[in-house]
Amino acid sequence: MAVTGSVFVAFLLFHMAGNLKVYLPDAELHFNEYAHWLRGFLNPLLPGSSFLWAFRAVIALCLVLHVYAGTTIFFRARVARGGFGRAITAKWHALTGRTMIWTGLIILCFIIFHLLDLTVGAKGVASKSFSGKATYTLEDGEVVTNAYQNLIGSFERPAVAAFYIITMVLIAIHLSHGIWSIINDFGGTASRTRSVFLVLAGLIALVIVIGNASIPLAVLAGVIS
Amino acid sequence: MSAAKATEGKGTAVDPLSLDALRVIGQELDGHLPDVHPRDAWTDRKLHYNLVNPANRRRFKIIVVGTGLAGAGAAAALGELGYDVEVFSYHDVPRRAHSVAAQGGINSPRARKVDNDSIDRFVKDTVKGGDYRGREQDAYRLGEEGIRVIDHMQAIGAAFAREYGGQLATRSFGGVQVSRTYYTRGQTGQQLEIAAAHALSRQVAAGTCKLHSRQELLDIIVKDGRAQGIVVRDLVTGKVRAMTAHAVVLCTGGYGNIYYKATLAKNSNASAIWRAYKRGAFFANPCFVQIHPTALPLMSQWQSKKTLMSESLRNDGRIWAPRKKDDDRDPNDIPEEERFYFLEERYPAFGNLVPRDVASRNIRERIDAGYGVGPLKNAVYLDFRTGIERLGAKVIRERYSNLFDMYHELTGEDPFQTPMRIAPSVHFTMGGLWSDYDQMTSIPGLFVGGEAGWGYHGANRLGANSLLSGCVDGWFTLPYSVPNYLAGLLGKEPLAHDDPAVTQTIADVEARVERLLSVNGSHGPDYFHEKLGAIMDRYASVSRDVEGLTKAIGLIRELREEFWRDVKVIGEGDRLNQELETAGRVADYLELAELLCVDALDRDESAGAHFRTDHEIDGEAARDDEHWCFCSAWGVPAESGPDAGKHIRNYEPLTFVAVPLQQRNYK
Amino acid sequence: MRLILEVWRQDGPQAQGRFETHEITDATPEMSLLELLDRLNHQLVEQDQDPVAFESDCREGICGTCGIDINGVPHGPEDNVPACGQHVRSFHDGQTVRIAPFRAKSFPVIRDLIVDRTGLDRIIQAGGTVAVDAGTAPDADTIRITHHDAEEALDFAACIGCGACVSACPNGAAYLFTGAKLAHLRLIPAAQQERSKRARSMVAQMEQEFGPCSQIGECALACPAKIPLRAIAAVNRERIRAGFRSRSKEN
Repeated sequence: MAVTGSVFVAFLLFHMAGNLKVYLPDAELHFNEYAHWLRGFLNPLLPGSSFLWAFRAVIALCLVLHVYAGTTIFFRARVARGGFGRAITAKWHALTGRTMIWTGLIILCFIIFHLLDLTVGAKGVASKSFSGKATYTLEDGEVVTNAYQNLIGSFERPAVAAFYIITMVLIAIHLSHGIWSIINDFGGTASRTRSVFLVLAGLIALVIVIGNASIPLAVLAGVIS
Repeated sequence: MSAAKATEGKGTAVDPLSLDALRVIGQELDGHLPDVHPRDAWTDRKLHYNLVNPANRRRFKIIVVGTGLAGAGAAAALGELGYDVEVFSYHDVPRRAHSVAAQGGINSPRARKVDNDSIDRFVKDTVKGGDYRGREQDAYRLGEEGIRVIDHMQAIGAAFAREYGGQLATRSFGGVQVSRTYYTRGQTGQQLEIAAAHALSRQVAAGTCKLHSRQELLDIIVKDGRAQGIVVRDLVTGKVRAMTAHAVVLCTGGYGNIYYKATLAKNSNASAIWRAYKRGAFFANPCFVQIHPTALPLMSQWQSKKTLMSESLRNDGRIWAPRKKDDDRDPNDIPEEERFYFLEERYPAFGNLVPRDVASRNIRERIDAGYGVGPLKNAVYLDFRTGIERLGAKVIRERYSNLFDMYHELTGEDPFQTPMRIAPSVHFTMGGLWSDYDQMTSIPGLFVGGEAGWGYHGANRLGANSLLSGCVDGWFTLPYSVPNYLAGLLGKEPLAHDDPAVTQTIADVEARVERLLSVNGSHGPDYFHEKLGAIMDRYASVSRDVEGLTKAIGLIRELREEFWRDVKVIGEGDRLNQELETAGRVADYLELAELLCVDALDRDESAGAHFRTDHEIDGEAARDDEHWCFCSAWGVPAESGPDAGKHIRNYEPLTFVAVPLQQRNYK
Repeated sequence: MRLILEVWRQDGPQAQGRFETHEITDATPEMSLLELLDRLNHQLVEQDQDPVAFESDCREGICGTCGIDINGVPHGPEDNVPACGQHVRSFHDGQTVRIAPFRAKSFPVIRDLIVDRTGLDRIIQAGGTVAVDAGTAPDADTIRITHHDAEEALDFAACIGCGACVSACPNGAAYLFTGAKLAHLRLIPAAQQERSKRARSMVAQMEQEFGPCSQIGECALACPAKIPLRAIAAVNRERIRAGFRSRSKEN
């Protein structure tokens, strides 16, 4: 759980860093350049976009393991509890901890939607711009997919933007408990390390929610287009 | 023997409650002490013990009852040696035994510091503290083996407090001028008990010990003059069954709960030792009951027990009562001149730090005289105001924070604002099954360890010596002495389960259970227990006199008769039934209480915790070494003959070589 | 004070349980919750009804025998206090108080409020012990343990084995209990010889009977011995440490 979770935390942070390019001046260029660079990363050492695929494979494997471990814990816990309810207590980690399975499942749904929307561009899910195969010409003349337009197009739909924002809040909740759990899972018993992780968990969760959720808000508000 | 002569010709046998009608002098007992200087007794004895070949050990079955420090230690140690051990406890798991509640520490004369401690000094403190009514040889063994008790308990997991240099830390304790008490915060008993219980768990996992939890001992099987097994009731199913073995070890704790509300755990009881007594094991010095001066008093009708507040509080707390009777004012409103610091005034040299029995007696005197405070007028104040003014609240908090927190938790009052209310409470019983130097009772094959026995503590136990005696008995005495007895039984099988002695004992137990269930009276067993406690508290507590004790015996007999006529035990015997458990224990208390009072009446002197108002010098206990320097070991009254129904007082004379007899003085 | 008590009644492990309602009219604020049950039982006996079976012993918070859920919270409303130290003053006049046994699959009910907690003891038997026989220990003064380590060991060794952590845990886990023992013995020099073996066997036994941990933190709030939450990390720490060592190594 902690290993795969750590991979996701790292992924999320990099993913967000990329996303935040939408705020740069000349955002469309930078964003599309970044998307293109990602596809060809480690070229020519590795052919084509093989790194991207390897990366995707690792993330997918982590996802499978993470979901498997999470559901296993959920079902084992139910059995161990013996069918007796446990009063809900209004304590942050009790609430976040107990809702990991639910926040997790919603996030899983989101990931599927997100991939169909902005990676695959599936009909009925992706925005019209994606369906229209928008392209962009880079400075060196190469014509690439216009990822930036896909993003803007997607977020211009209020329902999608809302779903995205809500999910980001859930991810933050999921992370605040998940990152805190990493220190437990890796056996950190030292009080200071644990305090650092507790702060870190809150901080990363906050950064992710602000960083990512601001984009659809900005799109809706017309700050970026 | 002088002891026997001393009481001859006193009174006439007319009054059924006169001493001569109540008891008859029995035989002189042999403690089987080695015939060497007490200092060398244990070495000499170990050298002469018979051994059992390691290959033969698993053929011997030993029953250990109780899993406190003594029981868990004995079972684990015997298991480690390779014997086939069956362990019984009424708890769900071994670790719950009441040793767990001891707070202060464990003495050990390791003498690593230069404060001039030694085994000899330890013996002197223990024997003097016990007012010369225990064996010197026992005290020597306690000191000698106590040294490696610390090593062993540390190794198996007890995290003793450490100095900053990493050495074991010690502190000083009441009645002693050196620092020999090892501790783990205020939870030494817990750490030792858990370590011992877990050592037992290791043997359970290894298969040498078999654990039978939630089983209460209800009888001892005696055949051919040897203890050969026990009868227990499964507390969950109610099934009564027997277990036979080559030897039986009872480590079942003290009988302080006879006083109804004591500092003991709710389940601590006297049934095991009382059943053993009924089968022929002598009961030593039942009247030696330690009453601790600083316990939380009863504050309401439903308060279920008393809670000990450590003796250490008297270092900075001052004990006082109002000078005016029935003073209902808030303690902080009572001016200095209207406060009576009675210990400081009466004992200027020791002040608030007089020994437990002296403090208890004086507090009790104030309460009985009508100067008690609190809602039930049954306490005096333990005031930290002076200490806080002198040292500051911070220092007091550092020293006593856990105790202040505990007091606050239990009473809702803050000792920083309001003086604590404290009152004496029964806390430990020095008396118990009589045993010889090898811890064997008067029934061969029946051994005893820990508070269930007698010996080390005489008439008064020193603080931090009880954990030590439990550990020494369990780990370093019984594992030597039990095999010595077993060696003579090689080739003999444990008694068959269809033996008449076994089936008869089971039938006796079942009949008794049935009898309790069939009275169908009007009051639950607690009702009788409470009444008994009131009698004992009033007549057999910190100070005793002939008139009161005689009256108490009459009242106890009436109450016992009423119990068997009017007790109500709800529910059936073939299931978990806590009312039935309580009823059986109360029935035993009602018998033991009489013996306790008879012993107190018989012992015509004051000694340690046994304070007779007709034997005092300036309010101090006055021993009578000429006539009473012996241990009383009571036997079951005969059923017929001229002395039918009379308690038989046997006696083991005590001699003192290393610590010559002298009177205590704390003024 | 008047209190309505809804008390769990169950005749045996297989029997169907139910809540039974009783009224206490003369409860007092200074009563402990166990004394409240004493009062109830006294009343039931007077009325020739079967008293409620519940366990307690020292009533000073150290033996770990008592264990009941009060309104769904182990031991009662105050954090880090055992049932014997919880008082009626936490409730208001006329309040309904629901009293149930500790809840977990690993704690089957024996009768009414009494549960079987021997599962915890089996974790100890699996390895929570030190393989030193009587008389074979080295001199404790020659083994130096820093003041800090001794105090730290005591923080974890304070566990009273009541099982509240399991009942508090929505997952029915025994990590706090197991971790406290592992963290305690890790600091005892004589217990180092079997450190890895201990971690492997205790964790294996724990997983067999108890639930998984997801760091919810309810256990540490319920714990009357104030075992810190980092005890649960100690389980993983010792397990990971053992995992990196060859199985043939026991230390």
